[in-house]
Amino acid sequence: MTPIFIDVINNKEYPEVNILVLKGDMNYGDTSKMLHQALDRILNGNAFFVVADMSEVTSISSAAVGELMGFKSTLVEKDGELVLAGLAIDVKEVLTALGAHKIFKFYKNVHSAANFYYWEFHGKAEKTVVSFPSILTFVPPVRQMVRRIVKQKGYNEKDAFRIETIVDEICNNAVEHGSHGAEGNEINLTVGIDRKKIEISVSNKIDPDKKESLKKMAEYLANPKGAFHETRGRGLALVKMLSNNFQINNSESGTCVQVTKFREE
Amino acid sequence: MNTKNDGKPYIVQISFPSCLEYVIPVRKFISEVLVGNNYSQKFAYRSEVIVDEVCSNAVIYGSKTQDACIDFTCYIYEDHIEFQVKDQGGNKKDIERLKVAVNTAKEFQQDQIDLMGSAHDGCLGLEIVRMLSEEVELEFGDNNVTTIRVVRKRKPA
Repeated sequence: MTPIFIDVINNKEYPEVNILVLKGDMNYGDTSKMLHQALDRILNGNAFFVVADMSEVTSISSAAVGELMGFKSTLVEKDGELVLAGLAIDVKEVLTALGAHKIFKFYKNVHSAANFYYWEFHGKAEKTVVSFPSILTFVPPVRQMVRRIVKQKGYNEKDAFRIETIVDEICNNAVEHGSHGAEGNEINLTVGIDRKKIEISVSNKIDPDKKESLKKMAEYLANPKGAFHETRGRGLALVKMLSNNFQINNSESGTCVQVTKFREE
Repeated sequence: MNTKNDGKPYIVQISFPSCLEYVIPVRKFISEVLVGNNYSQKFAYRSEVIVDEVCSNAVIYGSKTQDACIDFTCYIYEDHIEFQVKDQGGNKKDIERLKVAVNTAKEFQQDQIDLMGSAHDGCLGLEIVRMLSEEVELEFGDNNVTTIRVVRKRKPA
């Protein structure tokens, strides 16, 4: 049996997050008393988001799980939260069997749990930047990656599909109307995502031969009633319909399309 | 899609938040890009395994700050691919573990496969990467910034 060890530490990288370090067998002895002491220390401060680092917990009893639930309730009353990180497989199995997975959020490590805090409570935006050759066959993997990211961040299937459609349209346009080939003609996609919205930006170099068609496209977007071509321009109209904000900036060096889409659910 | 680009590679770069949630979309993205560049499904899947391992390591061991990001670059040639993954610096203890893991993996011989013997703590992921690739190199920069470079060759048909 490994003796129980409980401590509260504060990582300077996550000043608003308390880390409750739990080690050993949470079965016997002073588990309850030590947890209460740790809770008192946390309640005396002003950071009520707590990550329980359980990477060195070797076993846990139902009584200890009950204590953690009580711990969480107290924190939630103070607008805080308790999440669990770094669970070993057997400890996770015990927690799941006891139904604790319905009450606690589990994270792979403390870093991921702290990221959740900044995402959920501070509305932190996360940014992904992709640069790829201006070739059409790179577009499907790009749009599917964005859809997967959006899903991973908790957006629903409908939002994810619409965002995929937006990315597909503007990346296809960037390839079609921009400079072609791999070298020096990359397409740059930036996806910024937070709890409430997604901001997409696609930039590329202009093909000098296509300046005229871009000009027509800009005119069409300014006045959608006068379609610039009978069968063209539908993609951008679709993007405009699916997004909350849509802008195209043309300059001598290139084009940048910026789209904002709010979360619908 | 063809991969002919006058002998020059197609380059795909991704910079993503250092968070495990992003590893799955990134690894699947690379796999789909490789299939689109005429690499086989098997090659793409094994490359996906490599991407998963090196990116997960970068997230878990190479990110101290809450706004850390991982820089991933994929060079696609006709006959081989190259991955470079750069993190933003982990702690010294993890770097030492990584060095030991790489040295252990270097000694690994294909004809001496003993999975039980190889599966010692903390090295298995890198051994898998070593098994599936032709070259694995590590570089350590200032502030423990780590870059891992992996080369994987297309097998002749």
